[in-house]
Amino acid sequence: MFKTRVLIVEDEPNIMESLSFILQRADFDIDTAPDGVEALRQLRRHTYSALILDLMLPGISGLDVLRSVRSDKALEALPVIVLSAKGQAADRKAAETTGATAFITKPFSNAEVIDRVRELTGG
Amino acid sequence: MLPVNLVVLVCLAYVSLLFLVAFAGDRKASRGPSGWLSSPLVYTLSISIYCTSWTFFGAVGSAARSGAEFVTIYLGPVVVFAGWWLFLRKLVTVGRVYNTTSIADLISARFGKSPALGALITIMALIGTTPYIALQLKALTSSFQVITFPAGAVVAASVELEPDFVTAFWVAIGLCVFSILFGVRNINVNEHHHGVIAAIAVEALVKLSALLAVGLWVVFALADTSATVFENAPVSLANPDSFGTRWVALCFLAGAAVICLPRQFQVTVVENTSDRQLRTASWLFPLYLFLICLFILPIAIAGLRFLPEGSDPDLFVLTLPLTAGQDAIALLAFLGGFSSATSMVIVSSIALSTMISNHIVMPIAVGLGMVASAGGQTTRGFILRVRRTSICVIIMLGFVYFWLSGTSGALAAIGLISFCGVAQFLPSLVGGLYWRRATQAGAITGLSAGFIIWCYTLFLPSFEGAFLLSAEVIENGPFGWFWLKPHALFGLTEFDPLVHALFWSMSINIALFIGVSLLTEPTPLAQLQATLFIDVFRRQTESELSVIRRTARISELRQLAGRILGPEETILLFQAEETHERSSIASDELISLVEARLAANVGAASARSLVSQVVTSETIGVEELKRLAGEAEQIRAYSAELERKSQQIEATAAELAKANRQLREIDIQKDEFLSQVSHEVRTPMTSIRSFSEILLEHRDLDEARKLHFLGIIQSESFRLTRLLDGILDLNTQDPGEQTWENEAFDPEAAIDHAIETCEPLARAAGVKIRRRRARNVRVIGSRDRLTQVFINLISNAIKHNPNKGPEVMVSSLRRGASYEARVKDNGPGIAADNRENIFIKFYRGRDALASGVGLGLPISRQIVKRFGGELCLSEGKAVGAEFIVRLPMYRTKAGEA
Amino acid sequence: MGTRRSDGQGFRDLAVMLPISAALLLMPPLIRIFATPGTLGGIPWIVVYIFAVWAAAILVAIAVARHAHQAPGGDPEARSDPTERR
Repeated sequence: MFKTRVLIVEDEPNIMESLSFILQRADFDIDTAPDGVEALRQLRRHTYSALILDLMLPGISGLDVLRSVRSDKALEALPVIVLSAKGQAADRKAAETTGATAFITKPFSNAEVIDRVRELTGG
Repeated sequence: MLPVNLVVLVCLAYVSLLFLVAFAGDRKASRGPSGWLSSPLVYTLSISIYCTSWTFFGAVGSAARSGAEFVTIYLGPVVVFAGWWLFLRKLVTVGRVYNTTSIADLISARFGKSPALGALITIMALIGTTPYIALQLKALTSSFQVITFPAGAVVAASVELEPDFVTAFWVAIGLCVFSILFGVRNINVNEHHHGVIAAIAVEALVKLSALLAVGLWVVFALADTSATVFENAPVSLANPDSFGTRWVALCFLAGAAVICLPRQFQVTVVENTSDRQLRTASWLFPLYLFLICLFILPIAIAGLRFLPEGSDPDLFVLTLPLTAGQDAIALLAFLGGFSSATSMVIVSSIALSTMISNHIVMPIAVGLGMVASAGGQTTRGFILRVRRTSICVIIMLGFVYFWLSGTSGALAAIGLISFCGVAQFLPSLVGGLYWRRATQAGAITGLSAGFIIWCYTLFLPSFEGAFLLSAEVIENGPFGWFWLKPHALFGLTEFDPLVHALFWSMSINIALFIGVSLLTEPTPLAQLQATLFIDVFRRQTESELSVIRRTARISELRQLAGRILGPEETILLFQAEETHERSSIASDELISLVEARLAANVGAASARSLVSQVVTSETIGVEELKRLAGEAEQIRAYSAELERKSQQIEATAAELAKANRQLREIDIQKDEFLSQVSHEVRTPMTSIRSFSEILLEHRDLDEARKLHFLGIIQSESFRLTRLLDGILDLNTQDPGEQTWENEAFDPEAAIDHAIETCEPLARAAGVKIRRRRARNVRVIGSRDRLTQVFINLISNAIKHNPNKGPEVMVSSLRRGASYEARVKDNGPGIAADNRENIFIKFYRGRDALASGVGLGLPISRQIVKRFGGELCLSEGKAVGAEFIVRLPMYRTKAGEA
Repeated sequence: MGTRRSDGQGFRDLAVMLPISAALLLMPPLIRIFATPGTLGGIPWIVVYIFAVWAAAILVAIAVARHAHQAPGGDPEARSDPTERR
């Protein structure tokens, strides 16, 4: 059987590593991207069941990536979990109006991330 | 010569025309005084009654005798009118607002509605004006005689003509009729004499065009070419001695006279209906005088040249065209002289009759109780009869004066003597409008003293011994006291009689006016009037009306108003009051209103006396009054202060706005900073929490993995600690607060250390660091701190460099007495409007590239400052950002760096 | 606002300076400078001078009057026309 495939976009290598580790352990197939440009390239190349997106990215910001995702017909329905280290109400609001499916504040609990991904991928 | 019948016929035709104009003017005014009647042009032309026959004939005479001196009589008024903003504007506004009826009324009203002052001024004006009227009668008759002289003009010009008193008498009668008909139809002076003013305006045009016609004829026809006009000019014209004290005195006198002469006050102040009129007159009247004076000198010079020796220069205007056979021009000139003389007599007699009735007859009538006992229309009729009689008396006085002194030369100088007499009003008038402290006693003393000195030094001596003062006294002083000689008081001999009289009368007048005013207290009513007049441009408040509290029965007040104002106006006046309430006691406002209306008819002083008769109790709130004066003073001071401060306030407001902007910016920066700090803290926290959870949950991990994760947790903990240290540093970085070891060291070592530290970061980001070094440099300060600065700059350069082939160049060199290190990257650079912001605490690059920018630069700059150096961005337009650190070099004892 | 106020100020200065400077120019000692025998086109200097100053005063007075009309609020004292009161 195919594993559910998830793309993680995160510029902090350590966080990327922890996210990859816990999701792999939760039996997800993981792709990673360190910035928005790479993320959009991967999104076009593969089909993902969910996207985990950090807001603070070098170059194209997380919100911009989310905007491109939502403006793309093929990706309209893709569940997007936004991660933010700022955790301010304004950021959450901006993310939600731009089209985030879920919003998780850093530091997160591993269980929360896994639960949310499972929930959204129907897994 | 011209036939007598023709001249009389032309005169009659001209007078009929004037009657028609006056009649039309009155008719138009009765249907609503607007349009051309109250136009600035008519107003200005009416002011030109300043130019009497004394101007029309006399100016040429004066020019022939003393050159340029004639012009002073017109320069004074030019300055006064051109300077309307300074004084005339206030005078005219006071007159208009308070329905002033004459100069006597204005001055007496200002000094507490004093009847004594009004009477004094009226008598002075009467004495000063009567000879002046006589002068006009003389001009009228002699011009008539010359133009109709049977033996021809040449002879007429050179012989002494016996005055023709019969002609003079009939002329006087005619003037009385005209003045009475159009000047005294109604007793309310403020309904304005529109008919008379219209006729006067026509006469002003006639006299101007007559003089211009004669002038143009002289310049272009009589003299061969206009260039030769001044060929025979007398040398005295350019004599510097004619521009001495007498010149100044004459200018001053003329300026004073154009305000103080009763007839000038009548046309300028009493007849004024709007500010617009005065504004136009301020330049149009000087222009009128300019045109009047333009040809005076050419006519005088031509007269001296073409007419036989001994001809009367006062009649050149007439005799020049007559001798040349130019009958039409001569007739026009005659009409011009006729116009200037008649208009002066008419307006003077009207103005004086108002003064006599309001300030001499009315007070006596009121005092004798005649007004109180008279019923209905009788009082109005009485006042009208008084005015009409006064006009006849004034003109006839002029005639008698002319008759008695006709053969003497006494009339020649009477113009200036009259000016000097009325100039005595000036101190009280000006002081009254500007000086709060001026009192009635001061005005009366000053005026009386000035008047007595004027009589003694100028007026009486002008009779040359024929009246009161004998020739003996004029020559040697009374009882041989030489220091009381009329023309050399106290031995002052160096001035001519006019300047001498003006000096003494004005100095003593002013000195007593000021001195006595300071010694006496103004009455409460005078204080109130002073406030009203001096602050005429300020909007009056209700409290001013309530200063005087009076009680009177409405019925009695109404009766009184009915007697003076007539039934129609009385009904209008009391209408509002009656519909309001059926009270029998009049309000303060109503009493004040009635008094103001009465004042417009009989003058302020008489109006007050009349109202006092029906008022049962009167109190003037002294406290109110003081408060009022204080208020006015405060408002004045306040507005000056306000004017002065408005600029300061503007500047302060600008500063405040700037500070506000900065505060708001700092606030935004603070928010951004906190958000940034939150992010900076949360990032390592995320890793720490996540990996700790992994370690807790997944016990099955191999040892290497565990160690790796623990290592991450440890390094992220360090990162957190550094971050917190940085934040603390930032807040305690103020100079002197931190321990700071000073040592001389090689800054290159600090750079090397910094590059070393950043090496792993650079490797991870694929950034190439290039290096160029300086040699033999030492700086003084903290080595660790400088290292910190370079770590910050280099790590920033690495982090913010999205270039494909990222590079950082660190170079250093000696430049003069300083050491300069540059850290340059090939990234996007820094936007121009951010160049200074990046050094500000709490500021983080607006386009949030990556983390970690927020804290370093402000700290680095502070550190470099403590080295005595500077940290800045290079101005260069090259690719990327280039930071420059400049430090002063440390000098050894040998002077070697 | 700024320009209007300075205009008003300038106009008031002009209105005050006009009579003062006219008086100074027409009084000794200044006027004596022109009391010389020379002529300008046949007209004695003194005559030219007096009438020139006079004409200049008229022109400035026209400017002042026009300005006073345009900026009735030029004088803080005159902000309210007292005649409106009645």
